[in-house]
Amino acid sequence: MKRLVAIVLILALTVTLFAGCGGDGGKDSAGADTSKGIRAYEGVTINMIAEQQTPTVALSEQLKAFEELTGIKVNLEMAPFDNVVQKITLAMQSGSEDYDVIAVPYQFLGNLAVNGFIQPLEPLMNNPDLAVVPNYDPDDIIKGMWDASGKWEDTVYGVPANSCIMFFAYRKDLFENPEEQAAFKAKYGYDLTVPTDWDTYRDIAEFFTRKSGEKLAGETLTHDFYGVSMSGKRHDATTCEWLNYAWSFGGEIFDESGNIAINSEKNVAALEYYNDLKKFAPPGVTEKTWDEQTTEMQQGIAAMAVIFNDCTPALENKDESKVVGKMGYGAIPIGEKPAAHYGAWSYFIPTHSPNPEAAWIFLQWFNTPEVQKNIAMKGGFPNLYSVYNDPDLNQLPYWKASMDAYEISTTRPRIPEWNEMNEELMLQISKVMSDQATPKEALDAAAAKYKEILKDKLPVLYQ
Amino acid sequence: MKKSQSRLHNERTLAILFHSPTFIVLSVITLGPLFYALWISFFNFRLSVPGGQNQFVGLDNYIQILKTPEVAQSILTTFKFMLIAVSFQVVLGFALALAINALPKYQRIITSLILVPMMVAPLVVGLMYSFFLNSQFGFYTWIVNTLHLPLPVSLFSQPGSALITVALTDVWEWTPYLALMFLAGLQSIDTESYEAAKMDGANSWQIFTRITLPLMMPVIVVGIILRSMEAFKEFDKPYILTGGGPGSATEVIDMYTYRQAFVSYNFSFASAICVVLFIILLVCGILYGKFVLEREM
Repeated sequence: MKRLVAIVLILALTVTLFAGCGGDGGKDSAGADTSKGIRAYEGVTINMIAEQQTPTVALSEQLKAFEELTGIKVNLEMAPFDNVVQKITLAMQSGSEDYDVIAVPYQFLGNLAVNGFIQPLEPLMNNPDLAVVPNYDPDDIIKGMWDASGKWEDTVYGVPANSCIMFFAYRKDLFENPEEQAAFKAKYGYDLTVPTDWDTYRDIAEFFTRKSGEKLAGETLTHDFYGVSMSGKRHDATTCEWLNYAWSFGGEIFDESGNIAINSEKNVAALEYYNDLKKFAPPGVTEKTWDEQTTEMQQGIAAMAVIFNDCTPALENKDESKVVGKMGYGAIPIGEKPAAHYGAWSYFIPTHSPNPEAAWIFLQWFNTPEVQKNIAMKGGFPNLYSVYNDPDLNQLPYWKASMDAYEISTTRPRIPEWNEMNEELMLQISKVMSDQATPKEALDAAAAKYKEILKDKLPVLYQ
Repeated sequence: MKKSQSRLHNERTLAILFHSPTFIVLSVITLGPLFYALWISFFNFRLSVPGGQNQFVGLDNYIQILKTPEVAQSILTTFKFMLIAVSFQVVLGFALALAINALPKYQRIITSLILVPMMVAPLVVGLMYSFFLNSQFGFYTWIVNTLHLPLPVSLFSQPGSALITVALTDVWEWTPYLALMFLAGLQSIDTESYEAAKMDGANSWQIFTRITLPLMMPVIVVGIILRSMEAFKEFDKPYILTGGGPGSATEVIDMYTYRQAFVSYNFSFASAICVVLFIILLVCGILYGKFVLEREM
């Protein structure tokens, strides 16, 4: 018996010893010397994971400055989209202490918040000892973005990051060509302008679809030319693009009383329209995502596209684009109402983060004008009103249209089940685009699947 | 007598001792996950649903497999993929082996060259073909358009052509493997049997069908087994090339399972599918093995 007690004691001691080692190297966050202000957490290392994309790379280039300012080292791990989401889901599920800041697409917010994987930011935001970052002004963060990316049921969990939004890109040079304008008027009986409704959009798409050998803006084409570029692969890009059409047509995923409305008449009409439009798009729509769309626009083989604004810096890059200076940007055509699909990541602090205070200092610094402007100059989009109004950035051709789109942004549901629902939607739209199902059949099938996925979660009143 | 027995005993202990690291490592990295998968397939382990995880649900996941037509559909797609890919690989591989065998002078250089596709990572094969077959800017598209060949350009737009195209990329990747295997088989056939047949006045077709083929049969069967098992596990190429589309035309079972596990986070359901697949493969393996062994005897 004595021996047993001894063993238990030794075990307990060993465990506590290891638990002590597992901390942040003796730098207990509660015991930090707050009189040091911004350098109170000097020597702390925070671990962060984020998607490998332009704004993240732009951020990584500025981390040295953060370390010089605060003495906090940021260990930033970058990985492709799927890997980031999987790694984080598994790390959160196992209660891992590996990360202090995680970047997650906002549609996962509900999943993370409801599961208690991420911590509310209010205690940190209200802690005067942590309000040490110069030039940080929470009121400067674009409210719509912050709500969509960070707020779940009136609690703030994260800050927006790597935001982007879908808008309309078109070949301004062709739209302004007098010959084309005259030909369009002769054929359709009205002036060729930037389309503001879906009927005009379709007419223009048809008008600009030409065969190799025909003329376009006075020049003989050496390749086929198309009215639109669009996504149709079984991929997130397709559901993202189609949702603009659906919302604009007046469709919703859940109706006002929270019931499944994915197979509503309006959504079916939007999918019929989308499927019909593919005859004016380059062949092989079912293989296309935003990557292929970007290439098609860069190569100048399509006149219009509904795309994410973070694809546009590539169109204006003279090393890789044939259409630099020829593009115009504006709002997506309006059916019943305006729509602009918001896409963004959020930076969260996990519940089990060993260094939440240092992480919060980092998130504040991330939202200062200088950092955000550097990200924007490298091709990202900022979180701050002040940076949006920056004169340097307003010279970018896609800047104003982006800002306008953020004003009317629409978000995907952020409920925990959305990822699975989105997968189903990709499958069903892909079936329609490859003529394996009619829009009605496909969306009915999606609705049935949604019912199965959501089960007792219906009606969905908060998303 | 006694002494030799004890030495035998010692040798045995020693053998077990030397082999034990392998056994331990193998059981940890292969049997461990296998039993864990079997274990969680009886629970409702779902990461996307807050709370209520990890309740014992008995055979519910297995019943769910029967109720989900997509599972059977994906298994069927996998078998179609396997049939197209492996039959092309065997026929072409055999032809290639005969050709190389007939050119003893260039054998070395040819065998080294045809190894190249096998050394490319499957994911890279997928990426390569996605550029090559791109329906606007791909080299294939350029050839078809420039020479006005009567071939379709957007191969991944129709369910049928998509599956065949994905299978053909597998043929490109793995035909050399079978060719090398068959070449080794051909070279092990005793030349005396050929000479004897020639003396008896057999023509080359007769030699091929009566001598080469029967003697090669065991090698061919082994080749088919190995390739079929690999093809059953196909994932990388359809994932990159089509994402399972259009619709679910190229959604092989591994991709379906992957989606269940890592997109929908239904780990228990995905594990149950894995267990079923394991049983299917085990049965196939036993049948194949029996066939080969009987032939050998």
